[in-house]
Amino acid sequence: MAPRHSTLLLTVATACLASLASAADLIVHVQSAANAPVEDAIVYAVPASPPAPAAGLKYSIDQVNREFVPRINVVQTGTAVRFPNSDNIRHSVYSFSPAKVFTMKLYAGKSADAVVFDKAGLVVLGCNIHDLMVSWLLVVDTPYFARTDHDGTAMFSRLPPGDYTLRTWHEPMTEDQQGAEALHVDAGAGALTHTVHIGTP
Amino acid sequence: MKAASKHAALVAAAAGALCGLHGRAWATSPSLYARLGGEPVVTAVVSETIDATVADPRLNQSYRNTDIPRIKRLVVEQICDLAGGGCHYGGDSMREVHANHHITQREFFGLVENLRRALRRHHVNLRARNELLALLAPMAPDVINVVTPPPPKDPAS
Repeated sequence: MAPRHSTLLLTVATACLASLASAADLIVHVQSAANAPVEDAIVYAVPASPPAPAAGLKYSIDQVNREFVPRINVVQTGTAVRFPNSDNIRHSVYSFSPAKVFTMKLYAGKSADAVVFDKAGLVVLGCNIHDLMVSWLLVVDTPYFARTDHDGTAMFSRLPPGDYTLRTWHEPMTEDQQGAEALHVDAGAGALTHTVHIGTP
Repeated sequence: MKAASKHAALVAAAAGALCGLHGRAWATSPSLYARLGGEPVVTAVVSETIDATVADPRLNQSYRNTDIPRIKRLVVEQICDLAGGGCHYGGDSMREVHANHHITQREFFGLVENLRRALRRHHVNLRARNELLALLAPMAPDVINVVTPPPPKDPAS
């Protein structure tokens, strides 16, 4: 697949509200080159000094009808991810991605240990037994992340002021193909809107 | 495999002649795996059996979205192990493999019938066919309608 580089079209509209809150609400619109909204893009803002991961973060990726649910996932580095296996037939989850290489059998009728994703990066999950099962898990060094809905919109509430790198990923980008742009949030900025264009198939 | 069984037969005959003993006390009987035709035959038989089963809508529900080459590899390994071919089956138990797949009697015996056909097609003799089926028959309770209740929900989740 030809590499798709994100082209940057920045539209920043700041509403200077007489707000006592110093944090900003950020809305990011992710659009294709043809200006169509892009669903299931992951948008995340990495602070210039990334915070230490909060302890005890948990997440679940289920196995339903021989599929991973959700298919597109994002968690902060250090999150413990469970695979509940609602299917209740046996699965064998694996990843060869450098951010986490592992295999774990999910037996029918037995709980499995959570897997801690301790390194940032893109993890592609599969099942050894059911080879059409695939799920994407983006592990990011920030608590500020969101997935776009069918309107292509990702919302960040109360983003603290400071400098960030705003990154955008969409299936099937590699880590290197992710969009990246500088984002500065002023104290008292109120509401910010960004539009990011990515090339989509 | 065929060369090994011929060699074993020669050794048995020679030993019997030298010692005046009947072959049976000294013979190394060829393994069932060898008498099935060894790896090439078993691989072909397993492949055709599973292909026929996957192609049959009455039998194939449990194979949906499943890696078929992997299953074939593991079934060959299992037969090689059970039939004295010297392999070690590294897969999961039949119970674990089939838990909650809702395999019916009809599906199980449908596969067995496909296996019989494939064995005959490859000219495996009646005795070897029956021995193989006798090895597989005890698996039925671990394949058919194996039910494992789901684990209790983690209250912390």
